[in-house]
Amino acid sequence: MKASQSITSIALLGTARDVPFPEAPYKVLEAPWRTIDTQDRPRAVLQAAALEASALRSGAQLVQNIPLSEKAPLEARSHSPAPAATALQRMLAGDFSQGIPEWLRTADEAQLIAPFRLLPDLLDRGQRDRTLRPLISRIAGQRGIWLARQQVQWEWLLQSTSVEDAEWENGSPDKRIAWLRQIRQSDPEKATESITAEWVNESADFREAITQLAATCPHPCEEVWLENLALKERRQSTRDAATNALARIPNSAFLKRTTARIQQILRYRRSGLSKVLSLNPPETLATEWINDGIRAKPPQGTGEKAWWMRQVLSQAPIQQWAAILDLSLEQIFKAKLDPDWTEVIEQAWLESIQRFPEAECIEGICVRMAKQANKQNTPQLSQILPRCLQQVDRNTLASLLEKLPLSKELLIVLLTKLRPALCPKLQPKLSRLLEECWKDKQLYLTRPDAIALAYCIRPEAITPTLQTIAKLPELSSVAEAFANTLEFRNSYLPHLLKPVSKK
Amino acid sequence: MLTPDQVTALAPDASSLKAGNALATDRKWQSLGKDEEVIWGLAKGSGKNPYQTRVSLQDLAYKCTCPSRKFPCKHALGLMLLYANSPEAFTENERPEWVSEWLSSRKEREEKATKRAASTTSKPKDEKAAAKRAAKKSARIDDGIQHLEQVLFDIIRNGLAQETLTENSYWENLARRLIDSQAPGLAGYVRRLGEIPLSGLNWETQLLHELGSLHLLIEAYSKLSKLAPDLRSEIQQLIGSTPSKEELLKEKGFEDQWFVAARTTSEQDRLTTSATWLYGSQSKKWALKLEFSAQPSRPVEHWPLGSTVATELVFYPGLAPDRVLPRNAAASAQANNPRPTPNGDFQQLLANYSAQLALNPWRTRMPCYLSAQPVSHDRQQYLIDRNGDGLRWKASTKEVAMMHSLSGGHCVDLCALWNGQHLTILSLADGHTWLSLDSLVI
Repeated sequence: MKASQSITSIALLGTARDVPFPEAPYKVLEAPWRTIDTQDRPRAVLQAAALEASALRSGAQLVQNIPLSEKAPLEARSHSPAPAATALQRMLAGDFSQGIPEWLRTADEAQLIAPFRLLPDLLDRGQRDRTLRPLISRIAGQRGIWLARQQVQWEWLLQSTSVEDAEWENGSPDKRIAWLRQIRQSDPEKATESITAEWVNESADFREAITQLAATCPHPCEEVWLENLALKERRQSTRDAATNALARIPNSAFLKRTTARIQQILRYRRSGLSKVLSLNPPETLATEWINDGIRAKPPQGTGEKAWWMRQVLSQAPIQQWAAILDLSLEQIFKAKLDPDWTEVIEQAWLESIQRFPEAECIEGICVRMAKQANKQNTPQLSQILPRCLQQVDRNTLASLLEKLPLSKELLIVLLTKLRPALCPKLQPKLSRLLEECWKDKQLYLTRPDAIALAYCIRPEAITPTLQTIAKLPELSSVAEAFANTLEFRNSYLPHLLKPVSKK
Repeated sequence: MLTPDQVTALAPDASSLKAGNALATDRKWQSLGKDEEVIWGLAKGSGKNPYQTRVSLQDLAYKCTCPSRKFPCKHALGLMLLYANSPEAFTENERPEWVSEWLSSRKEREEKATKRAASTTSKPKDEKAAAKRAAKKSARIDDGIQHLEQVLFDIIRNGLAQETLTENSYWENLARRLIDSQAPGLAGYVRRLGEIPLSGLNWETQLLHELGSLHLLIEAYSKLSKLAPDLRSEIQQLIGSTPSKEELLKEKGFEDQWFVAARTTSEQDRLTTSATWLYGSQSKKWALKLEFSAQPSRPVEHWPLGSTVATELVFYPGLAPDRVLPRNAAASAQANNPRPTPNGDFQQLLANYSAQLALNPWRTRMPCYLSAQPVSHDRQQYLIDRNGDGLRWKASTKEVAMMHSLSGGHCVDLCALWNGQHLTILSLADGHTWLSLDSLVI
């Protein structure tokens, strides 16, 4: 390129300056170069440039010996059919994007994978939205894993794939967590050893991530590091995760201590003709309680003792109460509460089911609340009930919704916020509710609510619902949005539910 | 056949397309009908009477009674999208009067236009006046070229480091001057020069090379009368004088099963240009079909990307020409025909490009249809063919991610353009689907 720079440097400076004309930059150009009349400098420079341009364009060389990347394995699953892929493309571009979880779930149930051309957008979406990651992981296929191995930002997808032992020593935080998740399942003792050996060298963030891993399904062998290391952390969220984990280990020392504390403060005493659930708080907060994650200073507006009680009571699953009081769960949730402690006990129940989301406890609390519902507390329950119910899986949720004595307003709130997989029994209830919405102006439905409700309609009920709507003399903009969403779902669901055979 | 992509390309803007998509459901139409020539529908609107919408399947011409000033309106787009996605929704098959009237008025207009054209061509040609016009045009071109040559010399004399060269207005003014001189080809060349300054490393060298090629063209034009007919015709087209379509259609064409390999759309001065690269399944020849449309309307493309068309294409005269005119622009395209097997490689591409440059030094790009895989190496992007040979690939980050996703370390069938320095991928296969890379990375 030295010679090329020479002709360029003449052109850069301008031929008004007297600079010697350069030699031909390439051997192949020597003969034509000699025919250039260098007396007329501007013309000569342009002619030389034309020669050089032609030589460079026609003389490009092949690049060889570039190492190729490893080939992605073949897919075991079929690709989603074209109409379904087109719909997903529209959703990823922003149209009807609320339907993405449903698309992913349905494709996974039909044993399909996403089209390769949509994987970059899908993995980017998963990077931004953690809630979608488990669904994306299932339909990204081998190609998704192959891509994630090449792009650091998509490494979260590798958490469910096999990870080499060396990653624990040298890998990125995502890969180390993936290794730990894998080894906790196959060899929990080895995982415990590795965690214990490295604990002091880890960052606070990573220590929290490790503890969160154990929080939902701890192995008994993990009690030692949870009790001696994680529970002694300065970071409150790590200590909370440790207490969640320890409370799940049967016969753990922590569970025994917590049960003893609950036994100490919980009373089921006679009050007049009936018995009430009451509390007997201690006067001071013992150091052992603080060591077990109980915070001394209450948030603003909460009394000290109420705050301690709430924390202690929610540190163990509500089933522990049943064992302590020798009552069934049903009896506990039906029990009268001491008016002085009602708010604390109910708050403790809600916090307990956030930590230990057992379906029968959630059902018990929700039935109790739904029975107490009236016009005044509906807005409050509209906040609380979805928080309780979002802990259960979509199928349990559907059957719970069927059992709960809910008003129309509360049912709409729960359906729009939680979008359960409706069971066939609940579907007619929803259809009647919608018919009332279109006719009854009192039952107000917002546009986002209508779109969310459209995702509650079971696939087989979409066409009949659309037929019902088509009979309406006039459609409000809200009903129009509902119908548009249903039509969009109908454009891809039949293809996902009846997939074509593998290519 | 009509595909959603074809309809999408017709949409005047994104909001019209969105509104059209919302109307692509039979619930929004009072009635829907079709026959071999036309589709029609009564769209439920806010007014008392439904809007009457009809679209000709021959040339995708449309008419709607709605007051929209968008062309096509959302109703025409919705009707076409609905037909592309669910033709079975069009249950009527007896043309209403308002459809028949529209078709017959169109037919009348076409007949009148044909008659007018025939009467113009049958008129005895005034040779003297024609020669006078040609001489006048030639003088104006000469004048423009002389001015351009002087500008090139001035640039070289004063040096490429002048600040004015980095201003787009400098090149735009020069291009306008060339358009006034009836040399639109040169004007386009100059506009492309305006994109080079400050566009990357070594832009000065790139600009100098392009100035050199432009100067070579000017020198060739000055010797026009002494050149061989093909070279003369090539130079005249590069300057901006294209042969008339009527004259061109008198020439013999080239028949093949043409694979619609790539399509790009560009906009300049309120003119939209759609460039379609066609690949001959048997001949392995490349052909470039250009369609132009003044905005706000968009060029109508009858041949969807990835389809094949058995038809005759007439090549424009020139040196190794690729631009074509279809003898029958409405020839029907087949979507389900298998794609031709790509059989080229990069070695062959470089050899072909060198051979073409030897004939025509102004050839700026060469299409190829082959199998290759993307590889990132030393922060550079390459495409590697089946033989393991690689060429530089110019791509955005999104394009790189998309290509890797589609390839998965395997070779992918693709259509790309080579410009002597790097490849640009235009379209590629995803399984059985042939897609434009642009449409995937929006």
